[in-house]
Amino acid sequence: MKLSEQKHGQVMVISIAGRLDTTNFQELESRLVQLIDQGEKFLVINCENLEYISSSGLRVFLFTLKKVGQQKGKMALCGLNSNISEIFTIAGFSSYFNLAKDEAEAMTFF
Amino acid sequence: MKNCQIQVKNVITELENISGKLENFWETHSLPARSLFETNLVVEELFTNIVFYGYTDQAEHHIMIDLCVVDSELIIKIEDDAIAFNPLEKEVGDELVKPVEDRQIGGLGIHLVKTLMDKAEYLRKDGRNILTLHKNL
Repeated sequence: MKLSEQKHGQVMVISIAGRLDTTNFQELESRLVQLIDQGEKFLVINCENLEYISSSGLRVFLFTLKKVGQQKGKMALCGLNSNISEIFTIAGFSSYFNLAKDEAEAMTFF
Repeated sequence: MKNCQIQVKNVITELENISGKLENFWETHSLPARSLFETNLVVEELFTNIVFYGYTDQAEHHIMIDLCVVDSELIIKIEDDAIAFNPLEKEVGDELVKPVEDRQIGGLGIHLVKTLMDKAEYLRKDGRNILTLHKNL
């Protein structure tokens, strides 16, 4: 998994590439917690290059959504591939998240 | 005969080994890509459960993952010597339809497994858990 970050105005965009699984979800979780603790509360997670996710990754997304909510912030996800979209649906996650096809659309949530 | 046997230790870093072997198997037999994603996920969820919750000792154990494709059916068999645990009995209940504030963070793994597979059977035999999963390709 590779993470990269870019700030657009008040929105922090975190891009995830590769596989997000039980062996590395903590790396993503601790980075997101750190960003939120630093005051970032408008987050876009760009999943365009995310190839794989397991329930460990879903946990991180839900945890982050709740944490951002506590800060009266907002979060959007974009670029989910069709496999990952299917997992979101099965997990009942689709209604929880602001989902966008790409980063530009994700920005419209803020 | 399209089959593949993966034997791994009860350490979480074996996941990389497992996903590499699954990829090879899919490539060798030109199996559909979507089922590779789903198999990766299902095997990861079950393997992770065994490693994290299955053993009370610190010893090394082996977990067997057998894959076989017959006609257009994929059969996955996972066998371990962990404590008796039938994952198929685990129910997710009304968790999925709860509003986000009340939604638990975890507990999704087995639900994903049961939804993604077409048929599953659990057997406890000679101190071993044997879980057989079927998926139409």
